[in-house]
Amino acid sequence: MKGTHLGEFEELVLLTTAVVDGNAYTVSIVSEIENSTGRKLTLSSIHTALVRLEKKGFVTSYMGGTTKERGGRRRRLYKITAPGYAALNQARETRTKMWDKIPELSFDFKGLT
Amino acid sequence: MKEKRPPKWADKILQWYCLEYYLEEVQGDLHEWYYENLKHSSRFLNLRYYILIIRYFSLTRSKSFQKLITNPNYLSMKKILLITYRNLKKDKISGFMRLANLAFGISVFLLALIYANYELNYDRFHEKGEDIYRIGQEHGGDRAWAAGPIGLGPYIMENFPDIKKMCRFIPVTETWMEAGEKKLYEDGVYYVDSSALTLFSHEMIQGDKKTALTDPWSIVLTESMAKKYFGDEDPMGKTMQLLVDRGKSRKVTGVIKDVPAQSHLQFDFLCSVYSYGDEDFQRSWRNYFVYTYMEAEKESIDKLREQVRMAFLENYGAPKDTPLVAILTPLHRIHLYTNQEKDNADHGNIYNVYILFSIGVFVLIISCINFINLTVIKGLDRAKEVGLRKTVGAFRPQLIAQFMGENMVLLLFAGICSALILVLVEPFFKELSGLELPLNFINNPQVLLSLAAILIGLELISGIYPAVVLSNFRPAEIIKPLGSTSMKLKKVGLTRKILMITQFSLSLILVIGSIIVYSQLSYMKERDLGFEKEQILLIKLNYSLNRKIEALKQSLAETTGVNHVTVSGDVPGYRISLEPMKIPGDPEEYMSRFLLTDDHFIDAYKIDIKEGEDFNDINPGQPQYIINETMAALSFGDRNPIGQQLVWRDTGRVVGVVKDFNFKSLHSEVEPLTLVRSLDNGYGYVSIQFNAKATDNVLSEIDRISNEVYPDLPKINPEFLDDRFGQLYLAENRLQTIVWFFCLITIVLTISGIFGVASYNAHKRQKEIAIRKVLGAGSSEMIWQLLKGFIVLLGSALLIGLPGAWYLANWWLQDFAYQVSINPLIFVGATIAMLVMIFLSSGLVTFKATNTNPATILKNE
Repeated sequence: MKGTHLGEFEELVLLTTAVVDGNAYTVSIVSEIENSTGRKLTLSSIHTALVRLEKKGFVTSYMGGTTKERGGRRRRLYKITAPGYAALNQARETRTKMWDKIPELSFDFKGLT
Repeated sequence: MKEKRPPKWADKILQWYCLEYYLEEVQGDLHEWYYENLKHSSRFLNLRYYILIIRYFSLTRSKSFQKLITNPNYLSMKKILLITYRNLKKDKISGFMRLANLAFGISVFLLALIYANYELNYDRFHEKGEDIYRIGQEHGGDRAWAAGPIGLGPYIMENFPDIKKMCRFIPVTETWMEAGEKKLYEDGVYYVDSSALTLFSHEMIQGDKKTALTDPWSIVLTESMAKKYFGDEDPMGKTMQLLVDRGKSRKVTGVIKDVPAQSHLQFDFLCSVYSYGDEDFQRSWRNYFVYTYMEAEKESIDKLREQVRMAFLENYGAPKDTPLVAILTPLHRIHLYTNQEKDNADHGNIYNVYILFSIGVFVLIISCINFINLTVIKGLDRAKEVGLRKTVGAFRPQLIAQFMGENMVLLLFAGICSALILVLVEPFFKELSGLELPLNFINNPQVLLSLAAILIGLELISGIYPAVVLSNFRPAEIIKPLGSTSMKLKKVGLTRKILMITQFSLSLILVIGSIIVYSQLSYMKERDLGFEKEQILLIKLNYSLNRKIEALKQSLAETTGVNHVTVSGDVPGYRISLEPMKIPGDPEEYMSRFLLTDDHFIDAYKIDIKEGEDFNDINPGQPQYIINETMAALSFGDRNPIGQQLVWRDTGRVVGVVKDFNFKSLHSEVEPLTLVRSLDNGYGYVSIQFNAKATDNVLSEIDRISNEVYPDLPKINPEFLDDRFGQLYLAENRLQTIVWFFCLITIVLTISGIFGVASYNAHKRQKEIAIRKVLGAGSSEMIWQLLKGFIVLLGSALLIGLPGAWYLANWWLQDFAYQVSINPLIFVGATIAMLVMIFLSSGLVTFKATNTNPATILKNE
């Protein structure tokens, strides 16, 4: 297996998959990300990220139901796995640790004048 | 309103590229996205849909890519590459040696191939080349003549309808050209028929092929000459004067591309032949200086040969049974295969092509043997790998594929390396050999194809053997050696020994061969020609120089440092004319080289008089002849030639016989020669014999005299006679350099071969060495133990190599008129050289092995 590093974009997609758990597929993830962050993303980039996450073992997928708009085509639903959850957690912990290390910053650059 | 639907074509594109696995999901998503967006805004929706589908395209979702990477062949190839990479990484030295061997071998072979290709492709750029012949003739078994009479062309054109086109080329030996301010000597001037540009395929830059040379006072020049005389101005319509035209001027009517190097006929200017003498002269048969080319179908050639023969006989009024043969030389054969009298073609030598090509093949074989040996040796270390693979379930074809695949990777890499080597070596090689070879063969499809063929051939030869041997090991035997495996290993050893013997023999042949080629060539260059060629300057005379010849001679003779000044019709080193001589009362004609000279020739050239004396002033009305030994033997046999009568135009007497001297290069034997004293010379040469110490003074004086005596002519450009002889040996000089170059590579390859095998042997026997050492054996004793094998191999190789080299050397030498005697020391020397190579390369390895502390080796057990 390739590296299990979680990129920024992958992390976002994985997070969203967890958020909309049970109804996580490409279209729903796109709209969820747009709603919560304002980022407009294309279907293809999300799909590519999902495929990659699946290869890394962070999500699994199964075929779900369909709607009229889909013309009878089923959707592939993605579900976060335990390793995926652990990876998310680790990313958050790393971040928290790093935040804690930041000393008090002053932004008023008085010394420069 | 019609309901809006996702465009069908977009869906088709998706279906075309998308992997089945993702199709349903992706298409569903897309449709959902489409209808979702339809609710908000339908502007450019279809276009956006298309873009989205294109953006969906990626390798992971592509049908064909996924098909490729799941293909079993791709997978095994990937595996082979991986294992090859790991093996090379594990043993860098061995990998490098194998690669270097192949790359060197292939480069040398390609070099030889490109050279042969270059030489064999002379005159191939003419579209009608296959149907063009040069007409020459041969009389009674004498040497064939390349040139013929000026009347031949028009005569055959009018009388034989099978000849489609005819073109005469009349060389102008020494002339100057004048255009505006510029007045320079030129030697690439020809008078030609107007058909020259349509018969031959020289590319026309300006002017019209068909009409450029129809006007009698027209001239066509090459691109570089146009640049030389007219700079950036348009040369068309400009006028030029030629010395030989005696005051009339010519109009430039065309510019052609420079004549390609691969052309036997090299020229810079083409003048219309119709201004060359009057109509009667154009049809005369009493001269021999015109090269006549014709175009005719292959089928009619036999008929034409007979017709041309009859044309000669009729025009000479000779009887029908005269032993004269018309020689129609196909254009392509002129460069490599002819050696005709009075030929000014750029000649190559088919023997040189053979020699270099065989060297190329030999070197390739040697490097292949090295490669095979090293591969097998390396492979034996992998016996355990093979055993394990077989145990785990690999089939033999798979193992063979693995080994052959590894070789193919190396071969491809070596092929790329050798291409790079050739490109890098190109300027260097050009400098060394003087040959303008197109070594950068990336855009030469012929060479590229042969490279591909070589690689496949090498893969078959040097890949199959190791692959078969190595894949043949049986797992049980490898892991627990029993009698049969050691037998097998011994057999591998035997083949390897045969390969080593072959390699040693070939190296011996190459080394000995190079030394003999080298010594023959330097022998030719340094042999005493029988006259003085070192301190002689030549001035070519022409019509305008000749008018004040006495003044010129006078001033030259008065110059300090000049010992002798002599005027003669021809000089040694250039072609000397051939004339029939007769003896009163003898019907026979004796063909002899014929030299018109003044009184000083014998002194100036320091020729030894054997009998009789130099020209004298007794009876000045009668011609006096001096002949050489060969001529004396030919015409007078045992009689004393002195005082005998001899007839050229007038009857005269022989006053002296000179020792034979080589007035041509040593490619040919001394021919009969007759010197005639003539007080009023035709055009020819002034030879100045000078004192070596005064060279600079003599040269500057010639400059001054040139300005003084001929104020309105271009400056005289004297030539050193030994430079001229150097030119005659140009081909030999090139061959010499190339042969050395190849010889050096052979030696390097042989050393690397020995080195490889020796290090393997030392490695295999390191335990034995260690134990012997512990038991008290000395280093020198053990080195001997390891060397012994090589000495035996060399002994067997000597049995093949020495006679082989001797035979080949004799075959090559038989073509020379003057052969160096083969010195047996060469053979001894080469043998010793091989021994030294073996001692040095294997000794070094062995010494290292024997000097290792036994404990380091034995502790591993």
